[in-house]
Amino acid sequence: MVSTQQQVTIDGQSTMNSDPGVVGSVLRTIKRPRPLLLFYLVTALPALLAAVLITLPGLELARYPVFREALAERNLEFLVEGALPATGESVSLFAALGAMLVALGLLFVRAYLQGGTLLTYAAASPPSGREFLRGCNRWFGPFLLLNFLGSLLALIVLVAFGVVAALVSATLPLAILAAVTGLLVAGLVVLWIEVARATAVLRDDRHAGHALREGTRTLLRRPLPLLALALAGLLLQALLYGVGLPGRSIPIPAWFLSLLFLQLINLVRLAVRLGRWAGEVGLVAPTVPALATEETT
Amino acid sequence: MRRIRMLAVILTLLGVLLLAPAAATAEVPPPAVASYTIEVTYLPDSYRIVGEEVVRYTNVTDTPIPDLVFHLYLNAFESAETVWMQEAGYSHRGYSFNPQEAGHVNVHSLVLEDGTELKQEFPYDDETLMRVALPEPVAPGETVVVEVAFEAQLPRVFARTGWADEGEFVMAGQWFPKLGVWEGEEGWNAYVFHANSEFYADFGTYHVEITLPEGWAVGATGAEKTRSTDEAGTVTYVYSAENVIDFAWSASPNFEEYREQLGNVSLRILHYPEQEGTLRRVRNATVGAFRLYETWYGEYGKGLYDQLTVIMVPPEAGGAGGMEYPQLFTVGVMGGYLPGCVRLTEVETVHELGHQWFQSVVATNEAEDPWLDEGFTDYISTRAMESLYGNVLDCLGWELSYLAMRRAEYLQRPHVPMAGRAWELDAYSVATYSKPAVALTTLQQLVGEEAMLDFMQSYYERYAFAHPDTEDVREVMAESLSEGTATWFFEQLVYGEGTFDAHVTGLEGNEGAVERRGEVCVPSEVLWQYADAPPMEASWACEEPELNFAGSDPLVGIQINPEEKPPLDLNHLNDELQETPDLGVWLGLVVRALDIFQGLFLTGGGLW
Repeated sequence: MVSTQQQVTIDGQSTMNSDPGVVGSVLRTIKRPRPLLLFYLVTALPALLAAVLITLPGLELARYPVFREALAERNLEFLVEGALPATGESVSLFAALGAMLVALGLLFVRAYLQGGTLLTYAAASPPSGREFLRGCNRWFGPFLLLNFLGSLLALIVLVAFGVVAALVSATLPLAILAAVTGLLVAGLVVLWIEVARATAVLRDDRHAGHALREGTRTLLRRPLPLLALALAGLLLQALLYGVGLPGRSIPIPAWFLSLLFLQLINLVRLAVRLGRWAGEVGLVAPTVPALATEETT
Repeated sequence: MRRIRMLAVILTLLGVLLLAPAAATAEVPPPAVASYTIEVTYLPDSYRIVGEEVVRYTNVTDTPIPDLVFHLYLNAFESAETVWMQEAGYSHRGYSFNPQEAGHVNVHSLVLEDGTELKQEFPYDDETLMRVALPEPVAPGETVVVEVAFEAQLPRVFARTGWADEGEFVMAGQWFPKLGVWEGEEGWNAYVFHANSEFYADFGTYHVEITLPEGWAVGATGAEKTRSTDEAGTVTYVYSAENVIDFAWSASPNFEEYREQLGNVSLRILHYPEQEGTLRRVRNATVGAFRLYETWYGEYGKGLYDQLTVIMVPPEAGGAGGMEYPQLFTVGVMGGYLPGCVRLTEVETVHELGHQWFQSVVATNEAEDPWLDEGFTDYISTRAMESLYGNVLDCLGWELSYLAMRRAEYLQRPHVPMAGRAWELDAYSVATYSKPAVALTTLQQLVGEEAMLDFMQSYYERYAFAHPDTEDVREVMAESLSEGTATWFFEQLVYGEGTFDAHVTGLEGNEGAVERRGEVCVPSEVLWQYADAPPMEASWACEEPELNFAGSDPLVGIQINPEEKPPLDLNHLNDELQETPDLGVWLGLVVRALDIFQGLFLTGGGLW
């Protein structure tokens, strides 16, 4: 099928006709690395800026050998000293506030990149840079709306179940059940929005309402593969978090080793997330009538 | 009081002289001043202890005793209006009082040996102190015998004592009418029960019969002498303890028992089945610290004790954990299992065991001089924890010592004296636990470990089974260390509010300076180095508030006390400074912050 709007050939033959699986989806993010690199850069670079700003007082602290030794030996006693007003240097509140604002701004940047990203995974061949940007522009508005609605809904679900959990906190198993149910429902909301976005791109329909409706239909048609994909992605994220723990306990003066390890972990975590989106595109494609017809002719 | 101390000293010296080869173990028992014979039944359905006691009190002073003053500690938990409750804010170590599950003790009758009935009076609104006028004063050297019928309604455990587990766990601490300490012309040393106060009592002999439902296990001060099953299907346990200042017991049908022999001492640890995992940790800490304390300070109970019982309180009775009694202590104040890298259970064990030396044997007045029992115990606990484990926290390579934890608390309120009555202290925990631990460790650094051990051993030796006060300790320190050291320690730290902070005030080009802030002085060493030259070192005496360095070459670094930082120093960070920052350290911080921000920026699941 050729979309006149997107001007990118979306061909179900390569990925959409079959379930690519989590690993296949992650591999697709590596074979078509532009979104992964862009997502990595738009998180890593502002994070680096914020990290430098917030640790600038640490440059002065690095003149104190006790501080250096405490970090090298991982002795928490330096926190005792750090808590003292006499130390003079403390974490910059402005830098922390700036970092929060940057985090908020990045939500918009990532929403912008999502259109081009899904287009990249749906296309028969990797789109050019111009086509990628065109995809970003085309889907920015609807995706921003969908993401906002999804966030609001997930927040309401979490708060509601949180209140229920608090109300039944006297009975611990009930409270745990309420909390876990809340998390599951919020997870379903996220999955719903993700599927709606994939459906929108594959149907080339910018209407957010249509996307939500078609997303619901798709979820109902292929619930098990989609849930399995989401669960697998979640488990991989948890595994990567666990693998990353030793990296976070590397002594701070061994900064280069720590940098390599942690950045590798963060890159793979990002690849798993984008891999899930790629997998969703693959699972949604056979449910789009136009594509299904194209594939059978 | 002085006479008792003198008598104890003379008897000890005589013992040492007469039995010189076996002096370390041949302790002369203290005179039994306050002895109790108690027969009680615990009723688990109503959480009551019902029975009677026969109190024998001998006047060892030269002043006649006109009346008797009893502590009725459980009355502190009768309502929210008591002094204890008002001061404590209705809770203890995070565990709250429930007025529906209050406690109290009722004295039904008081009768002298000759049948004379005595009348009870409450001199204060707070009924934790009871006065009983005697028909005739107790003359010096005489003994008065009083039979007391009483009923103790235990509260649900929240502050040391009470019931839990629907009555199937009981920790009976400060549970019976107990006499204060007669101090001759100064009268009775007994105060109403304050929140920030523990206890004070004379040494004596306890013979206690406790009747319980069949199938319960009991842990108590002293040794079990007999056990008999009664016709009613109950079991009576008979315990006896000599040369002790108190008697506590705990019982439960759910207790399992661990036994081990530590030389002549029988160690028992009572625990719930689900506490099997923590049992090993409590056992290791108890055995390890027991051996250290005996090596460092002297024999357990000066050789007169052969029993040690540890009660691991169940999680719902956490308020009963972390408390010391003669020959018995409790653990479990944290209320549950902690990961192995968080050694707070070990800290609790090592600390409460330490009280067997500095409270149960050297029986200071915990109300008037709380720093003497808690402070000395915390100091020896920091040493034991360091020797046995190194650190309290040791998770993922990050570590924190017990001394550092105590120092962290001290730094919050360093301007407090250590001496003072428990309820009058401005910052009780800092004054009685943290500052003494920090100050005594600093003293140890100054005088050396050997001299410090000599001081501690002398103190334990001289005041075993006696009641020293702050000035008595000063006297021992002056003799063991030096008059100057004792003056410094007591004037500046025990009674004083001063602080100490040595710091590098500047380092630029060829010049640098160090300065001492605060009223307290700790003699220090200073090390400094010029570029392309070996480091130089000098002593920094108390007479010089500051030192300046200037040379022809650039100064690259200054360190104060490079070998060992005094814990009293308010800020260790500013003790050292180098000319150029260590970029590797800063980059390490950047990398760690980068990782945190990347995680933060990726929040939102798959939505964003």
